[in-house]
Amino acid sequence: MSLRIPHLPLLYVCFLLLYLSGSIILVLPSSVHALYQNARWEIFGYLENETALRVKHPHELMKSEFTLEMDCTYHFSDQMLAFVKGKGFYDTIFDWEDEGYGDHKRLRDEIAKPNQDTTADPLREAYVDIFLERMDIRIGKQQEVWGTADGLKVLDVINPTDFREFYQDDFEDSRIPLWAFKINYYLGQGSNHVAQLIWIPDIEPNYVAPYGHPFAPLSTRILGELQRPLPQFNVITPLKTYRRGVAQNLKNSEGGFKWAQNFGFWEYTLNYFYHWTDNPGLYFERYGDGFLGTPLIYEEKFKRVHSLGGTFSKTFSRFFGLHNVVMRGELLINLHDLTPAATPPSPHTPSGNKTVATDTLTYVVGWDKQFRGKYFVSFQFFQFITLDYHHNYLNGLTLAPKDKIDNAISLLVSSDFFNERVKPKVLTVYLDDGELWVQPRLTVEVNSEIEAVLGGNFYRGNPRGILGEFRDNNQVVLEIRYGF
Amino acid sequence: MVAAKLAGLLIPLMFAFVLNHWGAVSAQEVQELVVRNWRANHMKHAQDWRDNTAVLTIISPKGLRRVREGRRFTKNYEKEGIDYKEIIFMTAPENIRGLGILSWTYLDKTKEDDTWLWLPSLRKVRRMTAADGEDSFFGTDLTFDEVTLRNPEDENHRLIREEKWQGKKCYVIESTTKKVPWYYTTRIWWVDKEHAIEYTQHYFNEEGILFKTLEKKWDLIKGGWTWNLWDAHELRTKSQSLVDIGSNGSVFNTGLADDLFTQRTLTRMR
Repeated sequence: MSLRIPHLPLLYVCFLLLYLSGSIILVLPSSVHALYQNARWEIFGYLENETALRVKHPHELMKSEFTLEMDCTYHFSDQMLAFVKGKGFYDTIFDWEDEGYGDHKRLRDEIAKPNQDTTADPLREAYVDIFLERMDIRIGKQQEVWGTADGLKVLDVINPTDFREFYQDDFEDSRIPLWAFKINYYLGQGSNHVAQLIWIPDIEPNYVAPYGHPFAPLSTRILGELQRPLPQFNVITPLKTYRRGVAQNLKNSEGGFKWAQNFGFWEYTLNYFYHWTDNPGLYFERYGDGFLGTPLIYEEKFKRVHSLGGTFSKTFSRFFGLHNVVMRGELLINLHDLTPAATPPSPHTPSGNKTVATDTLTYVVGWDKQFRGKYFVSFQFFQFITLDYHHNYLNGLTLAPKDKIDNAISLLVSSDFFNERVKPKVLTVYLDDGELWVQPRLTVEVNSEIEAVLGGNFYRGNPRGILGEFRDNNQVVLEIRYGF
Repeated sequence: MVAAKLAGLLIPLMFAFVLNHWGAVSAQEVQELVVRNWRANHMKHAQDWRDNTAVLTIISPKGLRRVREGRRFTKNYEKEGIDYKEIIFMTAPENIRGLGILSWTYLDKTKEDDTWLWLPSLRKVRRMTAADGEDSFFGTDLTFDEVTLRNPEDENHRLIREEKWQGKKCYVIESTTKKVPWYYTTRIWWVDKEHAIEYTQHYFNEEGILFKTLEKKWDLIKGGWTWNLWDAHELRTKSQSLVDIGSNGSVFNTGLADDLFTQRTLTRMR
């Protein structure tokens, strides 16, 4: 969160001391081994501080978060193990005093709701793996990754996403794990052909940064304003929303299927996922009861979606004059997804907006090339197509008019120097409306256990655009991580 | 006069003898020696092979040590088009734990290896290409080319002399890479005349400047030669890297399953 820095709060000092003392104590043996490891047990973890400073005036701290993550594996036998990963974090920024301290406290309560299943949940993963001759079974809270595009998601649809920092977090950290039952059935001895079935009785939506948060998208900000009392008439709040979540029962569960095969020099997957929308649609429910109070009552509801897709990858020994290029792609078709749409105000659409079902097609094609074993370059082209387009459709993030086709490109360049001690990496995402996001990172491996990362996130574009709306959040980030 | 005539006859004869003696190591035999050496490096005397733990130590010019641990499993097929399959994964430290590489190498050396990289932090299997052979082997001064990917057909080989290396009789081979551009142009290496195991290698760039040395130590385990220590010195950066699997740290013929060498195993790594 953004605020000025009047003095160091007590909690911050406590965390800092804990962090430093922990690092020193744990560094002393200078071992690469896990915290504990033997034939049956493996315990690993890390302690991290991530601090972000706003680049633009008034150069405020936006985040100073301490994270402790630990995982534990217990091997019952070669055929069975149990895995638990827990994560605790505390963003001390909410303890810094400023004029809006009360608001920050509200935000902290909002972000870290203990009963809310987001990445704030201390239980990140908890599952049992059973390895049979032709089959792997995983039962428990888990992540399943179908898509592998860099920067933006296409087929990575199984787990919802915690967008509290938009796309800035690693996907590994921003995915919201789900309780699920997964079977991988392997065909042919020693082959890479697999049929996967996943059943998810745990229904969770995406988590979007709440109103007041620097990374709250424009749609949340607009809605948030309407959900607050009008400045002139304190007693009137124009709009209220209630979320109707999806009941967690057998009937509402989600399910998916994947087939993966090596086909000559090609690898491909075919995917199908029957699920609930990750973002709710907003539906007008009724008018308020009294003359004063809240005149419009809306309901947030989720709908069923069919997602079909696939991936491919192929190594080309020669590709347009370049040696050894990997080409890969992903495709996703969503049937009956939800999108907001503008509409003339009427008794049933008093706000002038409604939610409609729509079919979309998204794909990405990427090329990966390693130059001189030193410089990795990955270029991707994305296209987001609304199949049943209508000109009154709106973008869900900005509520600005939506194009029938949106294009994006991304470029990832990484390298390493001094025996991988210094690793620079830059991810650039460009949207066809002239919007840009650049994420540079410079990782320095101080020793086997400690890594420091200096990075940043820089946005450019229209302040009402998907990326441009965050241009006041341009930030430099420092991370220090101790692994054990 | 007679002596001069005799000398005139003997000297060419002696040269002829020497040449004939050298000729005993024909180009074909050099090639066979290189293949034998490649087979020794890939533990071809065994059906399968794994190390207990390999400790990778990277030592900076100032003496700072960074240590990584990993394991390597290999299975030799030499049938149905497959030469061998190999899987390597890191077990420590925490920041690279679970990183794994699976490669399938084919008998037809014109066919490119299939190589997949598992990135546990991204939960992503990414295909690698032969170009990645130049890449550092987990941050050490070794490359993937040196550790696993290089084949005898990737270089032109010639015998340049015979010489002892630390008391052992060796052939000195000059191998020039066919790949251009590549991280080295030529390497000169000392290979045991009897066992075809190499003790040291010197790497030269296109200007003929020595930039890296690589020494290996070998154990004789159950009748097969097995390396147990690699010691690489990068002369430009003055860094040193050790890959140590310990004396007798290798285990052979344990019946590794075919299914071990699949993406299934990679994706199990955490």
